[in-house]
Formats: sequence, C-alpha cells, structure tokens
Amino acid sequence: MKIVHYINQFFGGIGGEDKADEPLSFSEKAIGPARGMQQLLGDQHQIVTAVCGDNYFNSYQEKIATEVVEFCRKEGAGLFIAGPAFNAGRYGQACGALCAAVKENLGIPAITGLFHGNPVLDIYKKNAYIFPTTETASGMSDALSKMARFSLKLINGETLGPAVDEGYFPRGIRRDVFRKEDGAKRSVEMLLRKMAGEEFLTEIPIFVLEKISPAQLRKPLEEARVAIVTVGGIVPMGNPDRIRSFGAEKWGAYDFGGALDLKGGDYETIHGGYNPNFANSNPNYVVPVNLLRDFEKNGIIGNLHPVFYSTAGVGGAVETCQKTGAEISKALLEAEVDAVILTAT
Amino acid sequence: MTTLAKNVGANRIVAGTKIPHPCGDPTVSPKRDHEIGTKIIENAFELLKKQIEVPEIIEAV
Repeated sequence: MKIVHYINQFFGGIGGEDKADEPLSFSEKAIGPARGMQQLLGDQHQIVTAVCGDNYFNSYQEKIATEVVEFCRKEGAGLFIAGPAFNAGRYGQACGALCAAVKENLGIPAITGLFHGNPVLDIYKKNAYIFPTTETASGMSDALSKMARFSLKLINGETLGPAVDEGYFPRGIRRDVFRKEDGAKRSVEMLLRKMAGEEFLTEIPIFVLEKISPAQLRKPLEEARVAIVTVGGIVPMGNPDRIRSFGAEKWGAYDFGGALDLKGGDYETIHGGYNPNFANSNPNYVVPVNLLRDFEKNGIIGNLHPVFYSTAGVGGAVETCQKTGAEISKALLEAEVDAVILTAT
Repeated sequence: MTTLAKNVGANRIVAGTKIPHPCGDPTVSPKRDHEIGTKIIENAFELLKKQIEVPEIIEAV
C-alpha cells in the first residue's frame, strides 16, 4: 500500500523554530519519523513524505490541506499518517486538521499521535485514530510502534476491537455487540465487585461534571441589569435560526426592545420535550418579560436587558451545553448584564 | 426537577409551576396566575441578592 506521512520542518530535518515558515514540500523518500514508520511497516508498503513548517501551515491551513489531499489522491494513498505531534500546539493542529481533511475528502483512514493534554485532541479525535504519546518526542519510538501496529491492522483489513483495546483515544463511536451473559447478571456482578472495592469496568461511562462555585451579585439589585436566558426553546415565530428541537447545538439572541410582554403570534417554542400549547399562546410563561417589566417599573431591578437568549435544552449533550453556556455568558458579559433569570422546561 | 438542577451544578434554583409553564399557571384566573409568576421571580431575586456558598433551592410557591 502507498502511505503518505506528514511531518513538520523540525522532524523533516530542515530546522527548528527558525525554519517554521518553511513552505510545503513533498518527497518520494520517507524522511525522519516516516523512515522509522517505513522500517516498522516493512518493504511491501511504500511511505512518501509531506513536510511543512508549523508557522507556514498555521497561515495557509486550507491551501495546504487542499494540496496534501491532492498529493494523497495522486499517489493513490490508502492510508494517511501525521506526526506524532506529542504536546505541540501548531504541529498538533496541523496533524489533526490534515487527518480530518484527508478522511473527509478521500475517505481513507488517518492516524496520528498526541499527548493526552494537547488542546487539539478534543477537536480532532473524532476525525482520526489518535494514539496517546508522551509529552515530548522522547516517546517517539513507542508512539511509532503503536501507530505502526494499528496501521498494519488497517492495511490488512483485520477486524478492529474497541478503542480501549486498540489503544487510540476513544472517538465516542459505539458498536452493537452481543454479550454472553444478560444485563441483570452483568450488573449484579459489577455491583458486587464495586462493593468489595475491586476494579470493575463500567459499560457506559458517565460524564463527570465539575462543581461551579456560586457567583455573587456585584452591585445592588436596584442597579442591576437583568437578562432572561431560556432552555425552553422560545424563538421568534418561524425559528429563523433553525434551532433544533432535540439535541440543539445553536442558540439565538432575540431583541424584544421596549415590549412589555411577548405576544403569542410573534414567538413560539421549538423545544421538542414538553407540551408547547401554553408557551405558544403565552411565551411569557417561559420567557417572563411581562413579570420582569413589573420589577423594573417598581425599581426592584435596574433594568431588563432587551435581549433574551434561547436554545432548546432537551437531548443536549453535556459538552454542547457547556459550550452554549460559555458562548451565551460571553454575550451577557459584553452586554454588561449583572444577573440572569434562566428558565428551564 | 430542582434536584436534577442541583446535581448538574446549578447554584440558585427556584421551582417553577410546571414544566410546560414554569412562570405561572394558565389554569387559574389571570390575577392568580400573575401572583404566582411574580412570587416565582421574587424567589429568584431573593437568591440572587444572597451571598451563597452552597446550592440553594426555593421550592414551589
């Protein structure tokens, strides 16, 4: 099989940080780690190399991705390898992005290696088989061995086991399997092991949530700007931002200006998890503009922010919700909001 | 659902009326509906004004 291996200017023997602006080049030879990989894979497979400076890649990502994909296509590559990049930021980004581009455009598998703390890992772990490495290149030979062993399995079309067995970072893809023993027996055995303080392997890992310390109001409530945020899915009629009814990944910011309340015909709920009739007739049940106007009029709060922030909460993956929360928070801070009423349904 | 909110990390939690209409009650008179909704928002501001260290919940009106 023909394999394309991408490395940066340092591993390509061109130079260090001083050569990070080195443009993309291709070689019919296996250079640096690619040569190590060639030795591990054996002569019946041929590795050709793509080399690029980390800064150059960073500046021309799309162009380089296109050229690397073209090179793979021209070479008839059946596999793409990048790095390993260990904990390097720019190099890690290049490896991840190129793996994603090759997989998306050519449908061939892509392999790379990153340190578990590398911030680009979470971005690309779904697009490539990413193997855990040491933080620095001191673990090069171990990384190459792992990547080579798996490459051969892919090349030879062997059946693959789960990520935990093959050794790469889990991508969150679940395959249906038949278990020998039924669930009741397996769960009781798991519980007995847990109670005995023995090790057990959960079949479904539960996402662990971090504890958030309570924020404290930084000024008297009478001076505070209060905003409404909702996960009840209230949107302008017609759902202009096409927020999904289940597992929404988008959110919207909707300006209601000086309105004293929200009118039934102007807004609707697109949340797929509760009876929408009440909210559709009276959106204030979920985005209580009418109630907050009273508090504003009576001077209990400084003012009601004329924009509400909305998404549909049902079926939201924890990570998506955290991302949405962070983005809405940024908008709230920019609008100098002091306190939020968040309604949930 | 207030326990769920506490378990996933919310710190100031106020129970609403019902899931399809957390900020009021469409089955009672408009005046009573408004009173209930107002009380829920009052509860929210009571918690917002407070310096809290651990999650606090105000249950149903």
